[in-house]
Amino acid sequence: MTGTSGVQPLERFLSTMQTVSREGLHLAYSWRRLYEEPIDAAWVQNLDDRPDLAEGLEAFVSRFGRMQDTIGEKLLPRWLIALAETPGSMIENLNRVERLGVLTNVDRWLEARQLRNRLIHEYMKTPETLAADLLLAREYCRDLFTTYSRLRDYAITRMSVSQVELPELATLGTNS
Amino acid sequence: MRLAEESKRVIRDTAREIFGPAAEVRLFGSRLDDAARGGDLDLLVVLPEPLAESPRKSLTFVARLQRRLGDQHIDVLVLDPLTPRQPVHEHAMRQGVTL
Repeated sequence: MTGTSGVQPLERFLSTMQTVSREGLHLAYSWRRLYEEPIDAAWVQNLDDRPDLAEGLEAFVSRFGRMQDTIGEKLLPRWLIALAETPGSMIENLNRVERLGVLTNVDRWLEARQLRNRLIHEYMKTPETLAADLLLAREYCRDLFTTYSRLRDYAITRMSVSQVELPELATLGTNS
Repeated sequence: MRLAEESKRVIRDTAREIFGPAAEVRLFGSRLDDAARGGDLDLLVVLPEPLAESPRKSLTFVARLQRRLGDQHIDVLVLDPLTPRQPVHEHAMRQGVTL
């Protein structure tokens, strides 16, 4: 069986790559805008007076979470299916993907997921903790792009997918 | 408290691995209610000394626990002498049971 629509596993994987690359494009935009200014507790405190930045922050958090979800819950399982494997729980899939060399470190993926939960929920947030979490998110975002790019390389070199079928890689740029 | 002895041991050991040997872990929230079912794992980590990089370390703590105990929702508060005390800390200190 190939799922509800009769789409072949490889096509399904490739179309999810398309989705993730679009999400990456939008996340990269929000990332570049957010980290244009140095972020610290004072920056967070000023958000009330700068609705444009507050909106940009909201977009960033939501795009960060969305790309994570699509990769973790859709792309990786569909990739495993395209490799004729049987996906399991999230952590089983992450372990498998780590062994296949696409994910550097399962813990880091779970850390990024926890960070995203922390950013979304208002639980115990002070300007200092939010600023610290945003600085962490800047780095964890890079992992998402690395994962995408490794999957793309794997598909091209090991699955004989032609480059033109795989969307160009979005980049975060070198904002420091 | 709804938490197996083995899970308590894993939580204590993982906390010491990441936060140092003096870390004390308290369980608070819905897992203390024997009548409830399921629920998040709410943990308070109390440290006698100030901790550098506490936000990053608490992410690592959760990730390792999720791998060792199974994937579940875990919330962690870290309280060291420099943490500005908020009502949620007071609540967790009062209600929390040391593991």
